[in-house]
Amino acid sequence: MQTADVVVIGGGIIGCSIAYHLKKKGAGRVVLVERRGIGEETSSACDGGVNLQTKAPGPALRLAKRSLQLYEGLAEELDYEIHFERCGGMVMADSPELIGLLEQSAAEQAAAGVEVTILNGQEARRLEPALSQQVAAVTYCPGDGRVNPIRTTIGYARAAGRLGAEILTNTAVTGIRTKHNEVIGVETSRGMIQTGTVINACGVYAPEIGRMVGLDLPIRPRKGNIIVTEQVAPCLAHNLICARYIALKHNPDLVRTSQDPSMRLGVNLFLEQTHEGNLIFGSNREWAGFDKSTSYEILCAICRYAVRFAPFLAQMRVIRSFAGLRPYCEGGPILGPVDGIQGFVMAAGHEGDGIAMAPITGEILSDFVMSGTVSEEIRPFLFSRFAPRQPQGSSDGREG
Amino acid sequence: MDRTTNHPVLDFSKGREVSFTFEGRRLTGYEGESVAAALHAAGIRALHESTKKHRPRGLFCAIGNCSSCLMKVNGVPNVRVCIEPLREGMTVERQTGREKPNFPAPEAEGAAGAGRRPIETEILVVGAGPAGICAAIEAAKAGAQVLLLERSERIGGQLLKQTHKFFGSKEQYAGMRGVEIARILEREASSLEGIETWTGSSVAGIYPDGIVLADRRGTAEGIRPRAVIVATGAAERNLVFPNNDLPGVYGAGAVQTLMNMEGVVPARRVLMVGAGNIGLIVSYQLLQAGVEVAAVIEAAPQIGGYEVHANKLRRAGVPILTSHTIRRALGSERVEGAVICQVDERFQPIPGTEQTVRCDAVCMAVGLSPLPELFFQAGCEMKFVTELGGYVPVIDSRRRTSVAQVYAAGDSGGVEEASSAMLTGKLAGLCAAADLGYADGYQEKFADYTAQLESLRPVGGKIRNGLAKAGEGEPVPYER
Repeated sequence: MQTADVVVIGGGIIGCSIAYHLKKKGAGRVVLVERRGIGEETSSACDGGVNLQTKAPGPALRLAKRSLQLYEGLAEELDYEIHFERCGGMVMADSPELIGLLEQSAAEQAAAGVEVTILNGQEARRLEPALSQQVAAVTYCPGDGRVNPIRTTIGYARAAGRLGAEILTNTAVTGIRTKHNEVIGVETSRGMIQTGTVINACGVYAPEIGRMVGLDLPIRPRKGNIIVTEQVAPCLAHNLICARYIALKHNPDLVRTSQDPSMRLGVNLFLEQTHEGNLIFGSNREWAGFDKSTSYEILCAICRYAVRFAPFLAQMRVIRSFAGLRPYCEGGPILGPVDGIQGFVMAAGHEGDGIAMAPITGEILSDFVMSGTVSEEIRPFLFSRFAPRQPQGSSDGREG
Repeated sequence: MDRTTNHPVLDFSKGREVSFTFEGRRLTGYEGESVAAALHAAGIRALHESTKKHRPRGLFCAIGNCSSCLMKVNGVPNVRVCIEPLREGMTVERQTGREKPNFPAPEAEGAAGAGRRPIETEILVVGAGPAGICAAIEAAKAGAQVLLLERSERIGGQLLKQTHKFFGSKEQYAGMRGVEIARILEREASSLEGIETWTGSSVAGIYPDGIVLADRRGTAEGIRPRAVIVATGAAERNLVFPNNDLPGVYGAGAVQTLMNMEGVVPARRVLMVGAGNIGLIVSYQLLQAGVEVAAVIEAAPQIGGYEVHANKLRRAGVPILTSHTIRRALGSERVEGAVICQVDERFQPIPGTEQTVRCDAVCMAVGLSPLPELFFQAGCEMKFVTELGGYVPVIDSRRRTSVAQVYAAGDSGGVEEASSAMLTGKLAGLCAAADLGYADGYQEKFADYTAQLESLRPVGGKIRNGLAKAGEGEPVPYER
């Protein structure tokens, strides 16, 4: 039987970052267990925006700022190219009521210490000639960045491996053993791993792991469709996001109440150009369970909507489209220990912020595991912020 | 000009002469021929430059499948010039690295093509080679409404470049040349009111909501069919060796396209790699077109094709070297020769047997792989079957895949040859139509086509072994 000081469940960007940070801080035996391959789910079905101005002012924005700072030197630290750059980002408004939203959001961001300026359409088009005449105003944040999420995930996993973490891919977790409400081991398809600490970094699948210890985690998969074009020379300098993206993120009811058919489909826009030259854009927010299929209808709606803001896209050839599942959790991710189950640690539910938040999540979660102290940064994200649910004892989690 | 003016079998009737520019040079060609053919006729073989390593690339598949001939045409980058018809006044440029897209003027904004209401049809046939056309004809004759899509300009697929006479029986056009069969099928398809044909149309995707997306001459079209027959065919394979991407390393099909369809001399002296039927037949066709064949090499200890084809080559003095393979192609901008060597019984090169062959083209006739993308996208159960060329859908005797209303016809369901492709096409068209309720005369035809297909497949042969693995031949009773 294997033993480990910490078992990290989930080989997405969050799990890999945590495993890396644990080893960097000198943790003993760290085992990462992934039922498929590294970065095969949400971390490879997303955009690469690591934006500050899309984060709600408060604890999330504070973490995002630190996370972006950690991205600065990450390629050298991991010894792996992750294509990070501070390209700057724009949130675009195409209607008067959205301009109001931008002004409000810019004021809040500025109050939180994020450099955001409002530009009119003409000024925005000077910085980003791809923008259409429909763009009435933008908030411009030079601190926004982008990264290759797949490379980052792999970079973390490789660096963790180099530092001695054991990475078990194609290994499913089948159960978590507890004794007197204390974690004592993880059962996997390759056998039992004895451990006192397990970290649930399973993103949309985190509730499956939660159920193994009788927890009902309020994380739900929220689907988004993404489109990738052929490679072209650099033609977009910034990450582009529509104001509706922000509006929908903070007010999901708009989907039901709007007159605009694309709004009713939850369509919004992010658009960026990858380091390789592909344009990647999307998306929508859709509750569809774990179904990852795309549809002609939604892809067309996204294309039509994207062309409103960047008309040149109409000439581009689409080479790929796919949908990803984002781990939605009201009020942001669930981080840190869970009352009543000693040794069970959460790190899931980042929805669309997982890429941006991966470095800081690894940093603060590893701090917690090493010190046993819940920091002020983690506190707002504890599971206990939800109405307390008592663990169900041994109904699912077997007593060892 | 590298044009064939005098061919023993073919008569190249070309469209009107047109002029176009290639990187500022004014050239002439014939309207409707492929841009790639016009460039080849002018001696231009390096069509593309690879994006990362900036290596010259040329024609390889000539059927719009690989990406080695992407060029900028009339300002639009990434155009497959092997299937792009030449027009008067075109500007053609080589791409260096990635191209910058054009930003439309403010007044031209907002013309998004995607998202019109999908077009309804009963049966969509993807690919108008022998299988696809036969499927369309059969379904339309049964009474179904058919939309037939083809990415190149002409329907007929690989038949259009076959100048040899077919074997088989009368029903399978025995004694006729492929190009003649293509003409007959084309006439029959165009005479049927139930068939609408779109050429210059590539299918880009099949979605779970049942809609197929096609790029019809640059416009995105959604199609909502009640059934889809995938007849996308197969693509030429290449081998791994240094310089296998040099302009002048062609798939055998590309050589046939140039010399038999476009009337363009592909090279002066060719090394043929592969002595299956395609390698042998194309070698003979090269001789007919006045091209020297330096040698035919084959890694196996014996040839794979028929002796009758090999003997024609031997009589013409072409060496056929078995237990030989290609080590590398020589040249920096285009093929200037090749190094070959002997291999042992485990196909490993034997040291000291290397020799240089003088040639200006290497023709790869090392087999075909089915084009299975649409089956994968549709979620069909797939199997890797070596005998059938690669990944194929698991199908029943009625050509049905594991996904309802998705049928397989021709080489995309397993590589055989053109006569079988026509029959599997007929079966797919017949069964798809019957499943939609057009079932008059179904039983007799099904029995007839199945029997004909059986007669084409040698008992104990490779195809039957492969089909057994893929699950075809499981008899499925027709119930309504």
